[in-house]
Amino acid sequence: MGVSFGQGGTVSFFRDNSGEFDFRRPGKMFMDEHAKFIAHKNDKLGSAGQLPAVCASLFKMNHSRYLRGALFVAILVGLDGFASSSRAGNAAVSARQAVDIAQEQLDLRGLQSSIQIESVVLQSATVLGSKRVWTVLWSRPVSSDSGKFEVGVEVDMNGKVVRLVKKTAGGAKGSP
Amino acid sequence: MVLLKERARGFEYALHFDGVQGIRDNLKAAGAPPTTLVMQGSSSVPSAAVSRTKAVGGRLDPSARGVDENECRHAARLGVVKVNIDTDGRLVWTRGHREFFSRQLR
Repeated sequence: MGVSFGQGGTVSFFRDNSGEFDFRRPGKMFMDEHAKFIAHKNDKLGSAGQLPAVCASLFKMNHSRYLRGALFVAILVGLDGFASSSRAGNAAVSARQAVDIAQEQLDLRGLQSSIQIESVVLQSATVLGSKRVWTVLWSRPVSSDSGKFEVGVEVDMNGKVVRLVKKTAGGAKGSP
Repeated sequence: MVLLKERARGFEYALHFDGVQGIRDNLKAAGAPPTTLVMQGSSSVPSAAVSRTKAVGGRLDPSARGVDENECRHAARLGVVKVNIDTDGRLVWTRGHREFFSRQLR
């Protein structure tokens, strides 16, 4: 790197000090100066101190979207439960409890910040039977050591959890 | 965007706020959807930064200057949502590195 000083010639610091060839040292100094520069600009342009307000606004927007989605799911679940209550009876595990159980599964594996619950649906566990389960799907599949992908969990009316896994080339099937 | 005002002692730079307002008025009159504006070339080139860069060998015109930082805020009130200030960033880079190597060589 050539550096020209005043009326003198160009000095190549790294050529003359090859033992100190490390761009991180001037880079660190630049980063410190750049941080001051950005802070100064934020202050001058009026964006300094606005982060909490922006975060609150984004949270409000996302929260509103979440509530609309949750309301839609609740209506679907409610309609489904109403239609089937005469033949299947009331669920022993509520939708809220199923969500809590599923969220606990994510928390236990440290996935709570990267995976969200996308949907909760009350379904028949078998085609002909009256057994009902909550099917909880993740926002995206979770890869496992076995090379399969977990797409969610099923929670039965006793609170028992079965993971829903998907083969890379096949469909979904239950795995205890 | 930048208006040159000739003063007795030379040129003076100022943002053309009525131009920004005119753009907004015309967009509104044309029925355009809500439009955001970007201010290009809005580095302020502060004299202190120029002086410090020159002190460590940077070749800069001492009269170099840009947009008054305080005026950018006024522009934001008129709908400017992005201000491009790359020259100021380059000045920081140049000065930072020059000052580092200057100290190493002393």
